[in-house]
Amino acid sequence: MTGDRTWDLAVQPTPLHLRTSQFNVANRWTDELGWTLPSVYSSIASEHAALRNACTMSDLTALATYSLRGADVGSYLNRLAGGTAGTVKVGASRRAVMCDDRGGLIAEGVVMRADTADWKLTLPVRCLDWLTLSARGFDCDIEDVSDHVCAFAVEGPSSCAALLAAGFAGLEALRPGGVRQLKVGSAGVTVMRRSATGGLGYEVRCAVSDALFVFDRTRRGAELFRPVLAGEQVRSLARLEAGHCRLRTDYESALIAREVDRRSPLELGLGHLVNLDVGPFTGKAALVRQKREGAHRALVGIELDGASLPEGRLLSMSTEIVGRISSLGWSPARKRIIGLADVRAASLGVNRQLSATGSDGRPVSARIVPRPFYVCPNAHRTPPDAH
Amino acid sequence: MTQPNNSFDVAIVGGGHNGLVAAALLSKAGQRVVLCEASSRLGSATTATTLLPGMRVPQCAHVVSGFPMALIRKLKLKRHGLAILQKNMPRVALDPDGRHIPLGSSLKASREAIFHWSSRDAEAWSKFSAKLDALTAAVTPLYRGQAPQLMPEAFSDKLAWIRHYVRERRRGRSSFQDLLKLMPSNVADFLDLALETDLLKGALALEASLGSYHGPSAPGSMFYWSWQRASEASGRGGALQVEGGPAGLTDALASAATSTGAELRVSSPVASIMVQNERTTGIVLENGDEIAAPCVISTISPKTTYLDLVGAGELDAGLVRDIENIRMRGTSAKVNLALKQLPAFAKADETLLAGRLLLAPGLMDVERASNGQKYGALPHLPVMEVTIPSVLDESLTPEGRHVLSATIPFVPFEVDGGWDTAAGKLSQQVIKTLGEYAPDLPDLIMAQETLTPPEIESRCGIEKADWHQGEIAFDQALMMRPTPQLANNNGPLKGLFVGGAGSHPGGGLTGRPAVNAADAALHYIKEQRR
Ligand SMILES: Cc1cc2nc3c(=O)[nH]c(=O)nc-3n(C[C@H](O)[C@H](O)[C@H](O)COP(=O)(O)OP(=O)(O)OC[C@H]3O[C@@H](n4cnc5c(N)ncnc54)[C@H](O)[C@@H]3O)c2cc1C
Repeated sequence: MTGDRTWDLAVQPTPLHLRTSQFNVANRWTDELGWTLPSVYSSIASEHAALRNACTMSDLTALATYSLRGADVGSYLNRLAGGTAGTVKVGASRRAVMCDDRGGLIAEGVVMRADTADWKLTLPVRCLDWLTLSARGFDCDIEDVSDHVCAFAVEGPSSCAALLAAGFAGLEALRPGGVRQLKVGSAGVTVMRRSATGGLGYEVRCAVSDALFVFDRTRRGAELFRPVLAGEQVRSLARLEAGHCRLRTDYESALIAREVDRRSPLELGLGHLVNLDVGPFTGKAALVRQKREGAHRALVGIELDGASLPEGRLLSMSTEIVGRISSLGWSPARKRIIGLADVRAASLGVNRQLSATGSDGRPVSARIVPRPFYVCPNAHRTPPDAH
Repeated sequence: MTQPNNSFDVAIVGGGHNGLVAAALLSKAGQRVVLCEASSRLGSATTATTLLPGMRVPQCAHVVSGFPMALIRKLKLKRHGLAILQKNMPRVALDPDGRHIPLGSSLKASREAIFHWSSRDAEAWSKFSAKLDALTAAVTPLYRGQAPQLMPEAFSDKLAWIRHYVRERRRGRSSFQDLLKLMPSNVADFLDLALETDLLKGALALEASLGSYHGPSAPGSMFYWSWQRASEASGRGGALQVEGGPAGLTDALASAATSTGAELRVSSPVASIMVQNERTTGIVLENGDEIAAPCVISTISPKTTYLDLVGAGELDAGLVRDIENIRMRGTSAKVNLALKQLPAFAKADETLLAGRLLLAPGLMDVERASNGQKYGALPHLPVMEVTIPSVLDESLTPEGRHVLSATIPFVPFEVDGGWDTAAGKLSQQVIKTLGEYAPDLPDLIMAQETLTPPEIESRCGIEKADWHQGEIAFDQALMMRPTPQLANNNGPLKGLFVGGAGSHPGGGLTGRPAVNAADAALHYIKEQRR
């Protein structure tokens, strides 16, 4: 459907647009990487409740998907992303961070490997130029397959049971991060057990031509579990609850960021995704230096008092401004206002009394708290408990 | 397997003059040095070619411009056979009718010759030369030694900037203004504003463009010219003529290097530079031999060094992009002739013919010659720098016979219709042009050799036939040479140094890039031993 572009250019429908528009009662839309996606289908509260207590489905097309082929894909990915991205085993996936030479985070993505020769890299940003540049010296062909792959997520505590009911046989044995190829009817699908929302969840990928068939079949097969369609807003909130930093909200890609907005994985709390002890990768020297000298900034989780979102985005400590809140939201899971803030490293520490400016102009007190804000135990169990 | 005799302190890649300078300096400093050259001869650009038995001519480079006299003394090159036949080799604006203008060290002689063309220019000459010299003097301190730091941290580096600024300030407002105004501008405008004699302007424009991709009207060509002049000015001896041609210099360097124990291996192309944990550990030859050395100096182009010998995968991707973007495009060809006798240039005596003869009728002729190469065409009327080294150098030819060497700028690397037919056309045009200056010359030719840019690459080992292993322009000079990340041998890989023409300060037979690299390498070795 996207191939022949019969739609007006201003709206770039995803392969699931017929369904997403059908169910979008609120008729609220947003765009990601140019794709048109529902922002809210019905209400944030109901979608969130379904996500945390039952099962939701969401259109995931708004990701750039790259297919990698060649003898050196593994070493290519290691060099590209933190020295670790290429260590993915067949049938597995892992998060990966790409940095530029100066250690600035370009994007956080996921590498998945359905079989020996089938590597896919999904990213929240298009950067074929950078990927191709990085391939110099490696036997690795990169192709942007975003227009040919349809992806949707099935998330929530009962998502495994829902998918099993829909005919995704054997999913209960899939470990966190695992990737498996299945048949749904005649369509081949790839399922990855991974969700950015902090809970149990699966990503389902299939060819664009099979998109509606697979989606419908899943939704109908899982009818018993009443899957609710979840829009971008609720997914965004869920990712905040899970403590994930988000591109364009909490950080800007180093390829386009202004100097002051550049952030390294160490500053964003993604240090565990780079391995400074292994062979060369882009940005290693800069990160080693930053680690030695200490980062100047840190992205931290915060909790605010009160129930209304503060007006200002600046965080201060006594009279001094120490940072900026990059994302905020009322967390139904935590029953609090939570957020992520980019603060000066010097102001980190326990018992720091921070404050933001409330909607009435008065200071609202804020605390630095550990991330994530929401933990779901069955996200890590295999098999996950079905509700 | 690493054999015991394949373990050294320093391994040098490339046996051009820079590689030899590095080898001589480091072995003199007590390091165990091995140098590996791909071809069967050392010297690359300096090698002499035998046109006929007993008649030798410098194959590629024909004068030694800017090799520091101090380095000659330090390496005791005279004891190793170096004989300098002339220093500050003068240039001559050659005129078919004999009204030549010598552009040597004597202002008076130039002025008198110019007077035959234009009294106005004769009067303006001293002032013009002074302005040019001031410009050269302003960049000379930047030319010598390491490039200045962009963001100096050490006090001494900060002081260097201040000193430089103060020095320029002291020359007064108008000269400071000139510097800022002229550096980014072009040679053609500068000449047109100051002079009216076309022959003079043509010769100067040709001098300014030798080794450059651009013609005299290109923005930034003034910087290139000043930079080239600085290379001669900082050598103290200017352009040198050496007995045996520039090969005399590299022979002496090779002898100096071997005398202190350096091992010079020819026919040993290097296939890769070994890197472990961001440190070099040695080199691998194409035949598979491994040579262990904690310190590697590469004098081949930085582009090939990093992308091919080290491999892009060892580097940050952004650095790879920057290295890939280094502009490397050589546009010089050579025509070498063996002559029965000295050709009859009108009213030219031997003293005049011993200089560097600039054959360019006018400024626009140089500009026009520079145009075609951008589109793969040969210049219609080639301009050229000619030397007849046998006038002073008896070692090159039998009594009475002579050899002539012509460097022709603005010849495209890839020519429309291929070199098979174009090479003959080029040499015809060159000989025809020479015949306009010395009518008997075409009949005196006993043997000839034309080197197209691709042949300069394949036969002399000069990559892309690029004079500088990467264009000299503002964005590829000083602390941006070869790229900002690699400047001053401060690259990401410990123990790897680049010391060929592709590093600061650039090409020409100056040996300076190698001196800088050898300094940096010695510093590194000392630090490692501590
Ligand atoms: C046509 C022409 C005329 C010139 N005329 C003059 C002149 O008159 N005066 C002047 O001062 N300058 C002149 N130059 C410039 C001068 O020749 C160069 O700047 C100079 O040669 C640079 O020396 P180098 O040692 O840095 O590198 P190069 O001379 O390029 O030497 C590099 C060496 O490395 C070798 N090599 C390459 N790859 C490998 C490998 N993988 N393993 C081992 N060895 C390898 C090559 O064979 C070569 O010998 C001229 C240049 C050209 C093209």
